[in-house]
Amino acid sequence: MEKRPGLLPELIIPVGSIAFGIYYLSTVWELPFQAKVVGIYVAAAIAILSFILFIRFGREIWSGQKSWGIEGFFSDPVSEARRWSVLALTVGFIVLMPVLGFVVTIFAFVFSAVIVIGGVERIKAAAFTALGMTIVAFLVFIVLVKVRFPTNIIDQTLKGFFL
Amino acid sequence: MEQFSTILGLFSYSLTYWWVMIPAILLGNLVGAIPGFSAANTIIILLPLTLSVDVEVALIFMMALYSASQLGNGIPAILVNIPGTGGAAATTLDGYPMAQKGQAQRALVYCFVASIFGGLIGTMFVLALLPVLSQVGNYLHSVEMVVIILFGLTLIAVIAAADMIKGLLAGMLGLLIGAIGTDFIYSEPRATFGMLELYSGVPLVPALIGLFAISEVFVLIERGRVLKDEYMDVVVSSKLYDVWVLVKEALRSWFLMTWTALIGVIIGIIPGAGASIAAFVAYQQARTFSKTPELFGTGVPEGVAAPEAANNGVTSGTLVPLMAIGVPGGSTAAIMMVVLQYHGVTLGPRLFIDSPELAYGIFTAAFITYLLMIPLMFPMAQYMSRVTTVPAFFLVPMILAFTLLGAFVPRAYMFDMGLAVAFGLLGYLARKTGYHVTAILIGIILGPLMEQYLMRALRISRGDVGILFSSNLGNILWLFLIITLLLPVYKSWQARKKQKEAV
Repeated sequence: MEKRPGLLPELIIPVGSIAFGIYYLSTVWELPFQAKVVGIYVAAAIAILSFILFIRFGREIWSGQKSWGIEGFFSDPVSEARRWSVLALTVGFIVLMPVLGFVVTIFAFVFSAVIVIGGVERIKAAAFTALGMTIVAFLVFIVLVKVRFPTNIIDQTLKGFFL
Repeated sequence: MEQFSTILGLFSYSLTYWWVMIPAILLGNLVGAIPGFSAANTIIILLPLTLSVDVEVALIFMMALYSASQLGNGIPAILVNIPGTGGAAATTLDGYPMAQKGQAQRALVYCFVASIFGGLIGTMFVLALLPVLSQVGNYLHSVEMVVIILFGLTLIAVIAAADMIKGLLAGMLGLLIGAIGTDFIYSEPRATFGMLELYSGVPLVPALIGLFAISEVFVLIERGRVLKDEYMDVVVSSKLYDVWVLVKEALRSWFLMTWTALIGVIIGIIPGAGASIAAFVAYQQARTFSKTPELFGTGVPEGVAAPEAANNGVTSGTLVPLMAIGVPGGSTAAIMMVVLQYHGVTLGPRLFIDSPELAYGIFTAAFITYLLMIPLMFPMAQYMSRVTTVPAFFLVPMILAFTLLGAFVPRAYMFDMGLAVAFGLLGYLARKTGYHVTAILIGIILGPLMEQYLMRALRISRGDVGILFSSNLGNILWLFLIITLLLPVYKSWQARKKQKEAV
């Protein structure tokens, strides 16, 4: 039997928008009219549009075009595993940068991301890409543009060679 | 006549500064192509340089960098669906689908031709009509700006054509996200989730990076590369000669590029407006008056040419109020003003009498910069288009690392990197479920501007909505807006009628 596409993922944005609209209105309710007028109109528009969408979704379920569930949202397991791993690495990149500093975090992130997506057999390519990326990022962001990224002793030492 | 010969002499004088312009063009392209960077923050970073050299050199360097960065914005928008700034977001709508179909080189050539053509037309237009144009800002008040921004917002409906309800909902969500932060009159915080970082509103760069770059890499992981496999040979076998053929092809859209560049100049003159509004309005206009509007969004070159010509037209426009009345038209112009004032230059009408070489020179320098971009940019199109063939395992980590670092740059908050990831997840979900990310972005960019001008107008009228129809120019713009909205309906009705008659 052919699987019908699931409706649940399509509901996340309208339901989330309504929830955000309610939260928005709760924060502006006590404010003067001019500070809340745009919020009121936009939240009302979101409610109306979502209502129309819900009716449409209801009809699609009723006619058997779609099912409750998440069918069709996720792709093949390998791609999904890679995608979630890259997301975890991205979160790790942000959390760890204040601890590990600029250079180490970028190298570790790019190296692991290449391995996660390309496979362990690309370990050499991963190392070269990570090294190249780290050098370019360091030269552009730290040496040339002097952005105040979190740095540690390694970054400070490297900076000392250039500045 | 004397003024004409002064301007003519300035062209050759500007050309002698080619050694300043070429590095500025290359740097401008680089910073334009990296989300998070802009001409404004690069000029701030290079202040020690611009303050220590002669005023002519400083001015030419800043102008060349600014012009080149506008062109650079469009490159990643086409190749990897990541606009360098909000001004290039409209370029992704057709540029990226072209790249996916193996037409990255064609899209890049259209982008370069439109940018250079738009920049040249804009500069000539400003040079010819500078005294008149400097008065434009006086006639465009909050009411007129509300209508101009509405032109841009109607693009949400255009984008949403495939699924109107979902597209409009995405646009409304963007508008509500854009309304986060303190309001413009009472400075009361709204929907900030208790986070101080959101008091000044949702920062545009992390939103842009999240919605486009991060969501795109999540899709790329699955697809393997930007280019669809069946078009691999087309890209790999492209030659330098193809560029010349494509330039000739792109120049056939000269009328569209001229018209949208002039839209850019006019919008650029208005202080506070910018390349984002100009690009969205230009795209919307190009689609409205196209013979094949239904193809827009699927990868038509006109969809690249219109926004690119407009945001390069903005470059000249934004400097008009700066030079003529000493009011900067945008953030880059404001920083240029600081540098010029440091060098003892007094901006305003006296500048055209005391130092015409500076007053007009900034525009002749822009003109020469755009000319120098021709030999510098076109040969690169062939090689740049190869980026679309790079496998995802190389491209994804590099895009993610560079864009996350770019999200940090404008405000130096780690929070902004996290915000970019949050927008990335929203963007990915929107792509997978058919809600248009560009519609969300249009809402985020234009929402706060719309609110700002609407609030000002309502404040002046003490809440009377009638003020929106109180000016002649405003009413003319309303009329144009109504025509723009009704024209596609009329055209499709006519097409249906013709079809019926044929049957």
